[in-house]
Amino acid sequence: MFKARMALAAATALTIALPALAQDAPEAFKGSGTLIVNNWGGPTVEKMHDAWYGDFPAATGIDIAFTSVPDVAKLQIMAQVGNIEWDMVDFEGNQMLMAMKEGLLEPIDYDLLYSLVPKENLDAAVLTEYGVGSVAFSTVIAWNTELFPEGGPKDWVEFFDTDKFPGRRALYANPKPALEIAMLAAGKAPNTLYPMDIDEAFAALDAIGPKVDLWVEKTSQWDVLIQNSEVDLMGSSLARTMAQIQAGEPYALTYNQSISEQSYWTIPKGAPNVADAQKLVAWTVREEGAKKALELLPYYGMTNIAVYDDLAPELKSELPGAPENAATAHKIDAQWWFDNGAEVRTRWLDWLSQQ
Amino acid sequence: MAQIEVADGVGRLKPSGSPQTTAWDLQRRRLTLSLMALPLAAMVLLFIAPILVLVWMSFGGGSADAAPFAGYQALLQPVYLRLLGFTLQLALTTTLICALLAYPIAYLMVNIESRFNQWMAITLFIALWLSFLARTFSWIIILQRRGVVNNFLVGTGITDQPLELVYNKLGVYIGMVHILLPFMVITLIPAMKAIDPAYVRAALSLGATPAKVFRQIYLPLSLPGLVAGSMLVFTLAFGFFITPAILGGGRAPTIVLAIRDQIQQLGNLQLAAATSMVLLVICLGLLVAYDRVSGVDKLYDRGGR
Repeated sequence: MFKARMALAAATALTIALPALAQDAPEAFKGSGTLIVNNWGGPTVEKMHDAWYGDFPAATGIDIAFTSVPDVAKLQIMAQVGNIEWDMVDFEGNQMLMAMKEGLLEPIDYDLLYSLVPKENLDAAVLTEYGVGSVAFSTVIAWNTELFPEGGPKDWVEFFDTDKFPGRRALYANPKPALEIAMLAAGKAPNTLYPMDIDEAFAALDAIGPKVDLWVEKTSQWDVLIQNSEVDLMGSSLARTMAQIQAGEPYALTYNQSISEQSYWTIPKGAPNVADAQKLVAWTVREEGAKKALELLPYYGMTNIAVYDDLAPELKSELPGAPENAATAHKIDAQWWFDNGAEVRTRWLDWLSQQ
Repeated sequence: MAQIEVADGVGRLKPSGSPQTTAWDLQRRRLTLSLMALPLAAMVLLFIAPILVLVWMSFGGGSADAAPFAGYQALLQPVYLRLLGFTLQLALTTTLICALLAYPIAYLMVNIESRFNQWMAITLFIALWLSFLARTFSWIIILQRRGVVNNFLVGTGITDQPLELVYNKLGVYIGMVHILLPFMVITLIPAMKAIDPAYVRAALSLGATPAKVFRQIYLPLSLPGLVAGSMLVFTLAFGFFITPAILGGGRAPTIVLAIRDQIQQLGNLQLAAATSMVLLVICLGLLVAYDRVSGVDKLYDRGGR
């Protein structure tokens, strides 16, 4: 009896140990201690953890703990007092540029990264000196299918066509991407907007402003708005909208003229464990992780573009990051926002306070 | 009377109050000092020091290439004045509505003997325990286009179309008053409890009308509580941003929203510190003005005479 139990225990131990063995990391990736990762929180974040680095502790011996949310000002103050708490931070593009300007970031160790993942599998556009693409998140056109059973607006010009699509409209209460949306609604083509003429952009905003019934402050509001059919047309978070559609809410969306913004994994300069953080950054772009991420969270663009190669075409058409869909998307220019953010955001508040 | 005793007690503590210092006085002062040391240190460390850091930052401390007055100069832009004006108006109106609603509630809870009182108190405290955000979202469920209120109004035929109750300034006021009302009530209750019912009875027995008794006795005596509650509600309302941002649907941007942008989006800590200083000075100014106008300390003397 005792022997049988021992055998069972051994077998269980073996099956638990086996996957870990199978994914054993190269010697250069071994380590110990705990890394503090700072990203955006919310319901999707656990899935992200699972996908990208759920197997990292077992394979390398380095533990991971999490915190939120990425904040450049906080990092700056941490640097001033000489006590950096984060090892890896998921910054939006212009946040990364802000942090770079203040000299708060550690350069990425690409030798280490390419030793784990072949360079040609990665999207070169999102590999920068101080950051490696984490995800591209999208704002999309979505509509209530009960009100518009024949289909919704195909682009932002139609989105604001109140004759064709009468209903309540909601956008993010944020000039990024409200200004981009206004310009696209004025008939400009995606990816031709920068450098944006700020006067022209605000004139375009004046044109769409009266048609927006409510400006959405928090991403979590989309859930409430959709569940209660409070708005009929939205420029909403793809991840939030898709989750509600999958839960059975009568909404649909298009990837056409979706607006995507790239985020980056960065390592704060003076982080407690820079060397191990480099290992984790490299780990996030492995094909295994990207594949699992597409399974768990198909709403984000991936840095490891090799994952899209093996997918069936009908599956690919569902993914915003797939090359076909990415082609019709508008990409936020982080550099433009970094250069013009102060002026535009002050003017945006001015504009909003007069609505 | 009670008020006189308190006033004299304060007077006796002052060194000038007693012509010669006795050993007992000395010892008492020493004891007071040693007992006060810890709370004083806590005050300095936790409240005064951070405010001094804020002052320092608002003049460009901590950033290398900053002009000392750049932050305050930037605040003169019309956008900030407009946001500040709206936020002030929002906070003052919310305070006024809270005062008007809370006064009768607190009066009932203090002056009416009933088991109902307990339930009122429990209800108030439960509201305080719930998170601001949860209460904000609850109001959306109640007030939205297909919310409880509109379903009732349209269902019973009182209105043809759903009313616009939220995602505008009306929604902001409803949410803010609801969130802040308990603070006013719980500040008013002890002030009202401290009013000796004998005054009211005496005035009534001397022939004053109930309205006159309220105006000349009850209201002045409860004024310190009303002032304290108003200050509390005003300062909280002045710093609100997420409730107005969500319930206002973008049509009630507050100055705190600007501070958030200055920190998170512009990375301009100097401007954020300067804006915060302006809010702080306005709150302090109002506190002083309130004190002068309502004459909180004078009330005690008058009550005693």
